[in-house]
Amino acid sequence: MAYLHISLVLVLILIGIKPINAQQKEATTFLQNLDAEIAIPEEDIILINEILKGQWSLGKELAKQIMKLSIIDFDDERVLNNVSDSKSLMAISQNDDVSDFLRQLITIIDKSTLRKKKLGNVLVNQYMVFNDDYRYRWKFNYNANDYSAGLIAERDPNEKKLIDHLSGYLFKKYSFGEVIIGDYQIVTGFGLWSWRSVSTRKSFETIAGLPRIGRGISPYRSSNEAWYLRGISYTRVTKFGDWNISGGYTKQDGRIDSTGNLTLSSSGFHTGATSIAQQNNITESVMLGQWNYDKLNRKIVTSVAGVNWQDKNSSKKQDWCGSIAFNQLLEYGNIFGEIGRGYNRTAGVITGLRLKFPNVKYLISSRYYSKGYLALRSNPFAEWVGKDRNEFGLFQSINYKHNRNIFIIYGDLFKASDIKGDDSFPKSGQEAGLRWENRKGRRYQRIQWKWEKKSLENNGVYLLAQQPKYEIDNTLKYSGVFNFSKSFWCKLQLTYSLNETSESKSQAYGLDTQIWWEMRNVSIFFDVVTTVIDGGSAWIYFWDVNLPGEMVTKVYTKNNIFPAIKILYQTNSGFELGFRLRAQWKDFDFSRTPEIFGALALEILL
Amino acid sequence: MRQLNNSYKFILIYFLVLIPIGLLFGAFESYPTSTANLAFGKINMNCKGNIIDIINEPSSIIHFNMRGGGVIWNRPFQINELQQTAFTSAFIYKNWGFGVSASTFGNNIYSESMLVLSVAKSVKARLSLGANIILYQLKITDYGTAHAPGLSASMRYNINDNWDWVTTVRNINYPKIGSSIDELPQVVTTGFIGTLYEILTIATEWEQDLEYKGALKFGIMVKPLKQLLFSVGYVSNPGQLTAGLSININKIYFEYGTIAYNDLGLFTHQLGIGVNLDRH
Repeated sequence: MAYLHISLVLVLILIGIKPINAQQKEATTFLQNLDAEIAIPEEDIILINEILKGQWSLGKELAKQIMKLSIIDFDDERVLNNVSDSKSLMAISQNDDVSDFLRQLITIIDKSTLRKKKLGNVLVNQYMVFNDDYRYRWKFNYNANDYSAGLIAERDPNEKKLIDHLSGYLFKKYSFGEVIIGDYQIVTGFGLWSWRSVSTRKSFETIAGLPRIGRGISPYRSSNEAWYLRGISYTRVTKFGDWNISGGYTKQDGRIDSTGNLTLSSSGFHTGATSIAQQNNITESVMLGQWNYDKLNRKIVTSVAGVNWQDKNSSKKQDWCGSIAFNQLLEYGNIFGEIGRGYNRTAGVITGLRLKFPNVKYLISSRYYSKGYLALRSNPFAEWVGKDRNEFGLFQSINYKHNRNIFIIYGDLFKASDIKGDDSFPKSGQEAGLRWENRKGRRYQRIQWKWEKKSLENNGVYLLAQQPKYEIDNTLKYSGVFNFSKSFWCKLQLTYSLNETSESKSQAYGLDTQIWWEMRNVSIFFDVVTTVIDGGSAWIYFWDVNLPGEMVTKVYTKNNIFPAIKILYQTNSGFELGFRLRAQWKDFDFSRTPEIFGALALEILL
Repeated sequence: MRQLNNSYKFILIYFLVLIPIGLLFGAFESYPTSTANLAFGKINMNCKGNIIDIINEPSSIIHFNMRGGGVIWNRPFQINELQQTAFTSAFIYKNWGFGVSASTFGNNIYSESMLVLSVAKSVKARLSLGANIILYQLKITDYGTAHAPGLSASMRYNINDNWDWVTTVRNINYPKIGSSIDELPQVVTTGFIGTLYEILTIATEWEQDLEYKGALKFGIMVKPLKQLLFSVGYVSNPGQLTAGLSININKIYFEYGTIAYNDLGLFTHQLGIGVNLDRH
């Protein structure tokens, strides 16, 4: 009932607050075109929101921020690197050599910035999610020419404290370098030493993102509670490259047991007795250094960090980690790689070769991670993400573009490098995908098929009489965006998923229909997801009706119907309101009261 | 004996109304609010520049350019021994807003007191920020006294000439009081207030105490005469109806408000008086 009240109130407010000017709504559907099965790092989502709000003036600095996004293509990065002023940045929107993604982003930025050119540099955001319990997030950002500052406060559902997590930074840029005080993040190499909170995933986009070397240090913008480094960071720019030295300490969740083994938790949820007891239990003191050499066609990055962990009982552990990464441009592509030394004398290696010819791109990359490979904030490209996993892997992908049509094929082979006898985890597997996409501006159509096969190992507890030897997943998807008029749009997604083992079979069908209406200052979205699941082990993924600053994927595991509504409202004074509601019926007869989920986002720009 | 019975009645109602079933006894659940706001749906954000409401929304000092003081008195649930009083004073100095408040709630056996220091500052033209530093004192006769510090904050954004958006967060420092380490309420509110016509003001607010289900609040304020103002409101979960009136004579205002607890069939009546030297 409360949700009905909220809806009525919001409608009243929307009627009551007079619009001031025309608005651009393309941004609201911008990220929804990506594959829902591939998580987007929160730092990307927040950064893109700040970019679209005009937090950086058009030109070189904005291009530098765009390059920090994980979803930018390798070739796009080179184009952005050559941006010198606003004119050269805006010219990208007419450049047929860059990806559709970047072209569309620059087009939106152009319109957004024009709209907000008289507005200021303070951005305040309040985000509330109504689910089982409530999630709150408040964000404050200040951006001037050479200064910036940020603060983020967050509480996850069912946590005891209203401000369970607090993160902030001060950033100052000098002619000779940069200083960050507070929370910062390093995205470097290819993920073996320090990376984003989400690794580069195997997908149709891997050919675009995997060959990109990390962009280095930046202030921490995410509410992820386990991924920042806290302290002071100083970067000095010299003709011999950029030198960075950083130090500080970060509170981490986890424990050091009696044998000296360190266990860190990165979930950020503090609801149960164990997680509350382990909250901020570990003080991670870090001293790190990095050398970035970036000249002409060659980039080399060397990084090393010494770490001391101490829990509240004064149990201690020390270790160090480091990596060397390079990227060398060739006449027809680039070759890249990174070798890392993880904690506990573990090792990781990744190499790759990317070739680019007219209309054709090809990538081959191999990887090896020894058992338990883990470094400072490592998050490598891998099948198995987790500190107790290990693997050999070989990934290949080819991308062919013909007029407005793009064909992508990828394949991956992987095998555990250190097999543990009593482990039920798969030891080997293969994955392949095929995609066709036709795009014209915001309109596109896409068909893709993905196939995965993994071995299943006997851990002695399998309950079936006949133990399956393998598991196969097939996913077939269609996705298309159409417009009936300039302001009336539709998105249609169809998904079929088949999960089978040698002993069982499960199928899932999903249909997601979204219609939205873009008016002068309001956009209204209607979305209905219908799923039919047979067997229970085949799942369906669709994006939720996301608000600016969030990208939530919903996983559908049962027969259900889920209607949803989203309302976005903006004024030219810099105020923005977003609201979404989704109902969930447990069966198709609609006889029971549905469960309601929702979120409210409010944002102001001063 | 009569006094003892009333004390039991007070404790019973306190549990029923202020402390939802299944939870520990919660101190400082009953926060003082201005009489105007009580009548206007018991909304936390400062709806008409009443000085008492800086206890809930310190940012309103700077938004309403407050200079003056106010006092409220109420008798919760019509219990003779139980009363709540609050006094507040606020002023502006060099574009900063400052305030000091004190309040008490309880009877001669159990009492809750607060001393609140408020500070507020505007950021550019449209945004006002405020913070409250609070000293909580809980006293039980012949048992003891306990103290705890609290920190609250608020933000008010002027969307346009008619509408404001206000968010408040109470006790963000997760305060606990007494030897039993009782957690004090952590409350988030967010709401909008708008003047539709010169005589009509409406407001709505979402209030979420982390321990309980959220409540939605509505208020309507009608000003038929320059000196006279009527308010009605509704609070959900549990349902409560509110009403009241305010008489303004120059810069002085006299207010009466009442809140009806539908589930109990009881009322709380509140009186308030105040002066705002900058009120027009």
